[in-house]
Amino acid sequence: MYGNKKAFILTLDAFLALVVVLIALGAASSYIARSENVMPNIQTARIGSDIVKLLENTNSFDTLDATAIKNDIDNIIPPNYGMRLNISWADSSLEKKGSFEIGDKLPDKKFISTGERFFVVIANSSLTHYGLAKYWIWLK
Amino acid sequence: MLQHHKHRKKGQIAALDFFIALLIFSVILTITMLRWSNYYSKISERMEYHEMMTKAFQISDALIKSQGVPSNWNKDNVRIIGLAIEDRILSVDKVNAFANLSFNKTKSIFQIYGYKFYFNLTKINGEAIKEYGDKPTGKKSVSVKRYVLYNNEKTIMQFDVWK
Repeated sequence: MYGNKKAFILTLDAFLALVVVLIALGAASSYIARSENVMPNIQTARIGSDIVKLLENTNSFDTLDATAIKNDIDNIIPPNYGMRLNISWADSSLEKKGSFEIGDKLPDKKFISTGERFFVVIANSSLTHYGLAKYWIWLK
Repeated sequence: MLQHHKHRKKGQIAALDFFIALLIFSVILTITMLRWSNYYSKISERMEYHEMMTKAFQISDALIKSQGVPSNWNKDNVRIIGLAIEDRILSVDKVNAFANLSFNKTKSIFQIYGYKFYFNLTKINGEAIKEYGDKPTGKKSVSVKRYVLYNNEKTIMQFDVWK
């Protein structure tokens, strides 16, 4: 009688250990399958920041012209990326303001990196406009 | 006689029970070991990929955003390599100086031990400007592309880390 009881407890112990191992394996499997690789997102963020900085460095923003800036973006951006840009500006007296938005439509279910950069427009050595460029960039 | 027969039968059942238990245990142990080995190799691969990407991002950031240390560095006094005149505008002189550094020296400054690297400057239209380091030929490689202004031209700086 005592032997039977001992065997039952040992079997139960083994069964419980098995359940714990299977749960641990299942959890690890699920974590590995679900964990997202964030590195492409960092690359996307860097490319967005680089492109906007390049537009600033090449004085593209100085035009404050939607078509010209859109053409410059299209010349730089890799074909597998989508980008949207919102430019808002004010003249040096802060009285005259304007804004425009260019680029692709924002996707619904994709990682979108966003950022903004302030810039100034200088013509004939004098500041003519303050501007803000907001951007959204994603992998198509 | 009857008692002896009974004991023998009981012994056979116990042995069969043991072998079934051993079989189940072996199957579970094998599955567990295989799964564990699979997870371990996946996690190791991912960690190595992350390390290579992090190195590539850090080095490319330093190259295109900083002037280096000292800011007017040359091959004899360079401590940190930076190629920028301003944020994401590269200096032609510094790029040339960088391309003339010994590969071992740059690896030591970048602190990429156990890996090789490849640096490449190309115009937006694909025309090659400058390259340095070993082109990736290994099994594992990561590549980072950055957009910069070089010699007043829109340029792509590519930095690969590989082994």
